[in-house]
Amino acid sequence: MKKFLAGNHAVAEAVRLCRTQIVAAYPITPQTPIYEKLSDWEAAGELGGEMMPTESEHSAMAACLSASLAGARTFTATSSQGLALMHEMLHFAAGCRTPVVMAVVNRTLAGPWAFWSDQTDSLSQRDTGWMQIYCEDNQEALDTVIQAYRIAEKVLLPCMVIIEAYFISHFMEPVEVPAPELVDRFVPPVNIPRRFDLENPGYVLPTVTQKQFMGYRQLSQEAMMYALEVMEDVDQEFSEVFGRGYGLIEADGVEHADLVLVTTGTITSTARVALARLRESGYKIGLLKIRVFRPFPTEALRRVLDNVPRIAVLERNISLGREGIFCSELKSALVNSPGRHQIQGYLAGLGGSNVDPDLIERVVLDALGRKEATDEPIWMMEEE
Amino acid sequence: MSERRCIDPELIIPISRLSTEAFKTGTWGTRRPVHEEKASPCRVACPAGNNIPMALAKASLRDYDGALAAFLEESPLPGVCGRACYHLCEGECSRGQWDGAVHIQALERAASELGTARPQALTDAGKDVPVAVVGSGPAGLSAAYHLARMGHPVTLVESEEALGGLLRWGIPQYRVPLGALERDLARILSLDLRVQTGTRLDGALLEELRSSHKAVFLALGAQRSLGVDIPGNTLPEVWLGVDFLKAVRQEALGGIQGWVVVVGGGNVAIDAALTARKLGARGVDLVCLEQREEMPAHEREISDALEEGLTFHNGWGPKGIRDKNGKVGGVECVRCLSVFDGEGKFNPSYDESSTLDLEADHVILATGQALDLSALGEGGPFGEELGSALQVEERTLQTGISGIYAGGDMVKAPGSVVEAIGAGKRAALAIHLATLGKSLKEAEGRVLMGEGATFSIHALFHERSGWEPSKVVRFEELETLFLDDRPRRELPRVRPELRTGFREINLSVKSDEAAELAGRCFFCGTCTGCDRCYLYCPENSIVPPDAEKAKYEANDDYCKGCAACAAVCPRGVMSMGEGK
Repeated sequence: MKKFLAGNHAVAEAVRLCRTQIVAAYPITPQTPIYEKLSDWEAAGELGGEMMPTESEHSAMAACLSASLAGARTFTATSSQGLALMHEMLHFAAGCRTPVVMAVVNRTLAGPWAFWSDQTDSLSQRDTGWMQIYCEDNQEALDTVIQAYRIAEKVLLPCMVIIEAYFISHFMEPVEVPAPELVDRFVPPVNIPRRFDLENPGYVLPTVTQKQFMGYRQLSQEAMMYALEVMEDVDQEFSEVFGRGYGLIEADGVEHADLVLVTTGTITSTARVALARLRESGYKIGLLKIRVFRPFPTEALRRVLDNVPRIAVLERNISLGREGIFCSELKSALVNSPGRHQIQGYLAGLGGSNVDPDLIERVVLDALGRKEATDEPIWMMEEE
Repeated sequence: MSERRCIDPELIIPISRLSTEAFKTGTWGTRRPVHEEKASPCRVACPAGNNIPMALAKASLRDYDGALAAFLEESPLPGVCGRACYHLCEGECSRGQWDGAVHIQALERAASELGTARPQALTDAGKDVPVAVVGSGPAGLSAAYHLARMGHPVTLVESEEALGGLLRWGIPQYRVPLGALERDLARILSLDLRVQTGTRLDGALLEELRSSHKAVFLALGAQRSLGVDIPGNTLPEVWLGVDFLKAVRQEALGGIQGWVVVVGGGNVAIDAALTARKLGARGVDLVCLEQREEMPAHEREISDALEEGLTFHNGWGPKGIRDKNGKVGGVECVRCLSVFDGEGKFNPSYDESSTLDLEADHVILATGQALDLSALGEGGPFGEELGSALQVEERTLQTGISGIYAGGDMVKAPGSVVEAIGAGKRAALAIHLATLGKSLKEAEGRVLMGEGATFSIHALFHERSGWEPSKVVRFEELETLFLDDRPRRELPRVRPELRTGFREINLSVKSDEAAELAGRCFFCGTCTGCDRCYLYCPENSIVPPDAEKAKYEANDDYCKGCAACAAVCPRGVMSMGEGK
């Protein structure tokens, strides 16, 4: 059934459809409507699971990972400062191998104080051991939450489903909300290890030796790599059931392209419009959307990009002192490519500033005209 | 797919199913906590050595029998002390440094009114050692009481027909009503004392007591009013302070007409002045050498007197009582410049040019008391050296004559009721140990509290393991994080305009209120079983008391000596000791 939904509410729909048992969260703009929607349903007796109000995001994650250790399907959502506060517990959730699913609504991290879209908050959590999937629109947000439970509960790693503030969280779009029976079939009742047993008490995460620690890290890394397979399988099955699929990455018009523009999240949608215009003018420009960031789909990217001479990476984040984070990751993924690439990084949309088709067209034309790439990113602003 | 190692539930996270008790973390420690009950500042300040924290702990639970029993462990007169004591305890109360001292005195009274406990025997060891006590004021009653509790057959000799001494004759009923005294006396007499009232001591009787008893304790009080050597002091309407109070209590004096001038600045002067007022005097003027703030009377008594309309003339000394046709006409005074000389001795200096003439129909001279040595009796064991009866050894209160002890106001006046109770208790202990050939020093080592001015007689016979009476828990050692804010409030008293007759001024505290007031006690140094040491121990290695043991103890296997238990103990009971 199609509903006219803001992205936050699309996420909430998916959480309910997946029969999530425990939602422990703390409100923060712009994530709060997810929390509110789930609370409304709980108050009306329509949620199915239980809401657990907590005093902070740190506690919310502690509650989720504990419930998950007890075998429950869990969800939380946060943004920006809340995610930063949660940081310590993110490592614990991953280290406990708990398949917690969390929606992150990208928002600027202070300071300065602001509320707008910026991916640096979630990308700052890159090394916590969480899977990260970046969504392009409201439909993908809903679908990805459903997929995330399947993936996380299979590989026993937590998963972030990431949407951008306002462009997804608050913009309303027609969204296909699948029938509960279909989702029930796709996401069966939770069956994850139950670590807490009153008859056989145990202590999770006791102190380990140096070698044991390294061994657990290696297992987590193997699980991350395995997750790439699982993600593709789940996406394949999802498209068979629901008629929509997304892949680890999405490549469009890449073969024989003079330039491939690499994007993530909502900039992708705008880029589709800009590139259509450029292609009409005869440019051979490909589009590559990176959807899954952790685990990083190196192999999938190389399959597509190994022979592409020019690549432009346009993104809404920065690792200060380096460049856009996707650009860095892409460069390192392609460093073993047989051919040589000219990869140019562009920054746009930071702090929620607008990225319109004209801006994207300027990025493409700049990248095409460059004799050499600069190592530093190029800052792009909407023309006044 | 479960053959994949990276998702095998058995492999991917470490879980210990073994008990962590395998790790004897206690081996890391170099210190261990000790559960060590200590003395409280209030108790150390109490000359009777009352176990105030214990009594208040019971009262806070509405266990007034238990509260009264705790008071009776050390003192026979909770009803009297709950009214007439000057509560040194409250002055030292640690809560005084927080939001106002606990109402210890009012709670002692409440325990005496709400509790039904009876005195308990401490031992029967003294059963073959008869002891005589002469005088039934606070010192004599205390000595007789404790001696009887230690098994001694006690003969209590009193010159008047009724027991109580100063408590009966010297303290007006608006402070200690007769009923309160009688209740305390009834409890004391439940101990089966042999009482001889109406028996005045003389030399022959003292010799007789000495030969028929193993020891004699003299507590004769300070009965002789000193008076003032000024013209007119023999006029018929001139009374002496204590004699006046006693005459009123004996109902020899039913009413007063006209103006009264009271001379003196002490408690007896105030009591006499207020009593005169209540007997109908048209007006009462009080004249004393001291300035208002120098008066030896207690502040509360002074303010009570002012509330009831007495007039104070501070800084004046009487020079003569005006004779008006053979009767008192007035009191002539001169300005007193200073009461004490440069060496601090009582030596008033006057400005004779500055005079005050007060009209009076009666004069009460309340200027101090002294021992009436004749009460010791001529021809007795002291012979001509009656004054030597006052030379007592400080720790035992034994006089120069073996087997004769003396204490209370007789030896050290002016003293307070509670000091007399303490002296009686000290004499009882000394007599008990001396007559049984036991060491006082050894006993004192176990029960002296604080710096040794006071002791617990109960503890001598009911040893409390881990009690360190010489250590006093001061306010600085309390954990103030646990202290609530419940400021001291004024307790109900009869309004001045309603203080008719000899109605008691301070009102009783009701049961609920007493429990609440007692709950303000910090119970310094006394374990209340609050479990904080147990609950806060990060190693879960403090073991609470049980049927087998009375104390919280550290489990050495796991106690790392972190001192969290000592830090969270709200009352300074848990301490850190060196070594394991």
